[in-house]
Amino acid sequence: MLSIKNLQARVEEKEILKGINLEVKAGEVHAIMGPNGSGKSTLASILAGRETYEVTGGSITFEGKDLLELSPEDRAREGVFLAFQYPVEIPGVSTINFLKTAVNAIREYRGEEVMDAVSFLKMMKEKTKVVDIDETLLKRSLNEGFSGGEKKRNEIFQMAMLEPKLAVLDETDSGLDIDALKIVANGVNKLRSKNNAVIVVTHYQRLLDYIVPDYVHVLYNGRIVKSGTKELALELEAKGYDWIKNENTAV
Amino acid sequence: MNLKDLLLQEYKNFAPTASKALPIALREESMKQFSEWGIPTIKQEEWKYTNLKSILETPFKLNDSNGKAEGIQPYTIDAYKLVFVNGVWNTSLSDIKGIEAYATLKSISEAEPAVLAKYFNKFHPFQDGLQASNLAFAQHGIYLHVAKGKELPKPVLVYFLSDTTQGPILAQPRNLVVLEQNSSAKWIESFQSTGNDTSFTNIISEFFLHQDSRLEQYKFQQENDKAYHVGTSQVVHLEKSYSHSAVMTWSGALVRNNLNIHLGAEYCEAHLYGLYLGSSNRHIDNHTLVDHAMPNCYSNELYKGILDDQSTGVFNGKIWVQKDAQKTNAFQSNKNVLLSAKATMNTKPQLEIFADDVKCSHGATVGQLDEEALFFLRARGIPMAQARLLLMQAFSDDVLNKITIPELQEEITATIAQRLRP
Ligand SMILES: Nc1ncnc2c1ncn2[C@@H]1O[C@H](COP(=O)(O)OP(=O)(O)O)[C@@H](O)[C@H]1O
Ligand SMILES: [Mg+2]
Repeated sequence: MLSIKNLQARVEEKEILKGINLEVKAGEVHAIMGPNGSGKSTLASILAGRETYEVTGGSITFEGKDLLELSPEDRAREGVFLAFQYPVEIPGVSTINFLKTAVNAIREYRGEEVMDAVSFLKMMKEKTKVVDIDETLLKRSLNEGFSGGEKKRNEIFQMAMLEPKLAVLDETDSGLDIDALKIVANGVNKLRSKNNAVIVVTHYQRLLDYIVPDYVHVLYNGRIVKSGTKELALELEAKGYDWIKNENTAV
Repeated sequence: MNLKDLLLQEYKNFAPTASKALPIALREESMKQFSEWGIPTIKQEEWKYTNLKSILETPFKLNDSNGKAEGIQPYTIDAYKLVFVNGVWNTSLSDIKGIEAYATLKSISEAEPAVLAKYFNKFHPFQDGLQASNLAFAQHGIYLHVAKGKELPKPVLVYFLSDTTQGPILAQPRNLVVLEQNSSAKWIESFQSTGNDTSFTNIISEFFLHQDSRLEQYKFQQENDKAYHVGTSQVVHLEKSYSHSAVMTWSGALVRNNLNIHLGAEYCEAHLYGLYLGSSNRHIDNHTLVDHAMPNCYSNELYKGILDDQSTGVFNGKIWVQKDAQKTNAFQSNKNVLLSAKATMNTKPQLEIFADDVKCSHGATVGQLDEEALFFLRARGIPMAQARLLLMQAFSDDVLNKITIPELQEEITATIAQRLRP
């Protein structure tokens, strides 16, 4: 589904990604872990099409298409979804308001009929249950005055509404208490199917107790320095990131 | 012939026909001032950014009663309706049935001299040639007087149409609205035009608010791209009166909206809202004054603008807190979004505070659409143009929401959305 080959990227003069390789197949869940500043959010943002980053080498293929050629909106319409590490606040635009536009923009792209207001509301009601989000929140200005947990839940709610093929969750677990964490994990698990894939970017192994990954990768200093199965996350938890740092400064 | 000479000459023809409700001496005096001051130029501080020179040589026709009212785009709201064409009231198109139970409504030229002596031209914080000309020519306009304790059941909607199909036209309407104690009224001015020639409207509307009265007034500018408009709305407040003004401009070549509020007694409240959309070469200037003359009054002001192409915007917001006006609360905010590198905005808050126990704040911003928000919306599948539209609508909704008549709010919001669409 997703194939990243030797991806290199920089912002201004700073090299951030120095040759990332990653293969994600339908049905898989990949976790990307690593210390702060190693380039996890950069990778996630590049997948979604953020223009601040300049891709200087390598390729990203998604479902056979050159992802780097597509605008952010077309990537979303192809089925890529990014849950933002720092959810955006937009005064005057409610979640319902932009989601209605988004759902129909995606349907239009796929040649499907636009969704009428009644079906949209029905779908919304169902999905609010998945992440246990209060409907009144969805009528307010996006994320304005929301608690950290509400913002993250709102990201997952949007994911549930848009039903992406590939979901990239950037530290969706940070700042969540254990109950909220379970709700978020549950939302993600509901999306999992043999046709979809998830990339979970996280700092802590805690989330991976609830979203069990097929593969775990450690990103450090712009490279994937270790890959393994879910046991790698436990090892990291036990030994700490210094383990990775020491191993790699030695090289 | 330039505009100044044209007006001086026209006055000679007009004077013998002028309504006697207004003392001829006042007109003469005003015309003398006009001949001294002429049309405002950018050398005057209050006109520094707004240049009228491009209409100085236009061969305008004044108060042309041959104009046609066809082509007005009516609002669908239920209202008392009045129509002016080229500065002349077309009474045959009025629909004011039943208003007499609440108010007197007639031409300003038929107002009783005693009424004019009491309410007319009482507040003039700034004087210039255009105001002098308007006063000298004051003849066409509405005089509305709402009786004590009465609430007008419908808004008064006045269309000012410039019919330029037969050439350039100039209009100088003058309105007077008096709200007696405990009365309330909603007043809407809609400026529209037909034809593709130049028009120049130099209008003044005065509002006098007695104790405990409430005024809501709206001004919508939707003339053609050759329309010049200088309009002054003045609200004089007596005790505990309330005003709510919203001025919206999305058309015209050059539009200058003056809104002057005089809080002349205690416990008054004034809300001032503005929205302006600039595109192509449009120039939109909003000058506001809130004059806190007495203690314990509250004023709140929010003006927002979106400027595209080579359009220019001006905001000048004066707040005067006079030395007696203790316990004043005065707030002002002006926010602007520039969509193009060639668009410009001049914004200037001007606070002059002579009392010490006051709460005042002001803020002005000029920026672009939020890049982060745009990326977010696109990352959710919304195309760029639609994402921009969503953000622009959200930006303007803050002001559009201040239209308290629901159907009108819906109608103007839809019109504005159409304007914002790329
Ligand atoms: N827009 C930016 N401008 C400058 N530096 C950036 C920008 N985005 C990220 N960086 C830098 O790139 C590095 C990787 O950042 P990031 O991808 O956010 O790391 P992570 O998500 O793994 O914590 C950091 O050193 C960060 O400071
Ligand atoms: Mg990060």
